[in-house]
Formats: sequence, C-alpha cells, structure tokens
Amino acid sequence: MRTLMGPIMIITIGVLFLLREFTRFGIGELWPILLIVPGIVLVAQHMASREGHIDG
Amino acid sequence: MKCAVHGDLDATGYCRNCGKAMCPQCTRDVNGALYCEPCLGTLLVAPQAAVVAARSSSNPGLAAVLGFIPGLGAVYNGEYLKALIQVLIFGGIIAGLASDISTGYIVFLSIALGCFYLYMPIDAYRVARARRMGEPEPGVLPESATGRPVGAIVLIVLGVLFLMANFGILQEDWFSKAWPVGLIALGVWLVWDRMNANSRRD
Repeated sequence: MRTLMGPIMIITIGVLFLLREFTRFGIGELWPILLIVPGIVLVAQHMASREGHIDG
Repeated sequence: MKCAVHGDLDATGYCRNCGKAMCPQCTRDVNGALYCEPCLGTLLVAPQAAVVAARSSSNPGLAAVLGFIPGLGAVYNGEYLKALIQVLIFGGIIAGLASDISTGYIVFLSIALGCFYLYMPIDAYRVARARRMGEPEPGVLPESATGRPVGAIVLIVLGVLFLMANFGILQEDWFSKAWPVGLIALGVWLVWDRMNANSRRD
C-alpha cells in the first residue's frame, strides 16, 4: 500500500538537518521530532476516509 | 503488493486457500471469502486436496522464530524495507545505550530495546498469519480493540515529552521517574477501551 510516510520522513530529515545548520539546536535536542512526525502521520492515516480505497 | 497473475496491477486481496495476491480481475468472492479461480475450482471438485496443498505457503511459527533475529522475520515475509528499518532501529538503540547518556535515556532505551525485541517476532507472526488466512495485514504499530492507533499516540506523547525535556520545560530525567505512571495510564486506557468495545458489541 502506498503511504505518505516515506516522503514525509524524507522531508522531516531534511528539515531536521536544515535546523541543525541554521539554528543552535542540534540532533541532540531535536531528535524527538523523529518520534512525533511518524506518530502524527500514522494517526492522520488512521483517521482519513476509507472511501474509494481498495486496500481497506 | 502486486497481483501474482497480473504483475502490473495492485493486489486487493489474498486467496483464502493458497494465499496468492489477487487483483480485482482474479478475485472470486464467495459470500465475502476471497478465492483465486484455481483454488475455487479445486475446492468444488476435490476439497481435501485443495486445503492440503495450499497451507504451506506462509508459516507464521517460522516467521515468529526468525523474528528473534532483527529483520529476519520481515525478510521471511518479503518486507525488505521493513527489515532494513528494523535493523537500523535495533542497531540505533544498542548504539545509544553504548554511548555516554544520562539516566533518563538509559531507562528509556532499555525499555525500548526490550519492547522492540519482542515486537519484531510478534509482528512477523501476525503478518505471516494474516497472509496465510487471506486477511488484511495488521498495521505497523499496535491498535486497540476499537481500532484506535494506540502505538502512534504513545509515540507522539513520548516525542512531545522528550522535546519538552530537551528545551528545559521538563526535568531531564523525567522518564526514569515517570515511566511506571505512563505504563499504568496506558493499561487503564486499554482496559477502558476494551470495555467500550465489549459493551458496543452487545
């Protein structure tokens, strides 16, 4: 099943390194984003409408 | 996953008898049970032969045993990306524990390691069993009895709390003190959720 998780994670990692480059915050402070973003994506996918989807 | 017969079409179901992936053209629906045409034909003519021949395709027990080696359970099920991610997460947790980190993180990573190590064989088993029975595969993270994405919500909550700790809003070793409370809260939520599911069924 094609999900949005892959592309969104790519964007997230990109943003994370961008923030690391241009602000004083590094991976050590910002790593929880890597927990939060997949969580949000999964909840959103779960709440999204199933109408028209074949995979259920 | 693609149809076993039409390689360019997406599979929308699995044959209940042999587990083959089927596109809508190949699917034969009998009162909600999905079969492929060969199995349906065999079942009509020689039911015993059909059942015996198909069962060996996906072995959940083997998947579970292989799952104790990081990534191997997913490889058995053909989920190579999932296998790679499992290896990376497992390695990452070990690397984190081996490095110099504070008590809060040590507690968190140790618990995470234990949970994740059990999660891999359980997930491999559930996927293999769903495939063999022709049922839809379970999602990546655990869901409750009423279908709520419990795993995903726990992930978000943990992430937010760790972020708050990193920026000074929460104390640094909050996890080592608070995790039993979290566990209890999770248990209470699941109990409440299951009671709701049961009463709704009545």
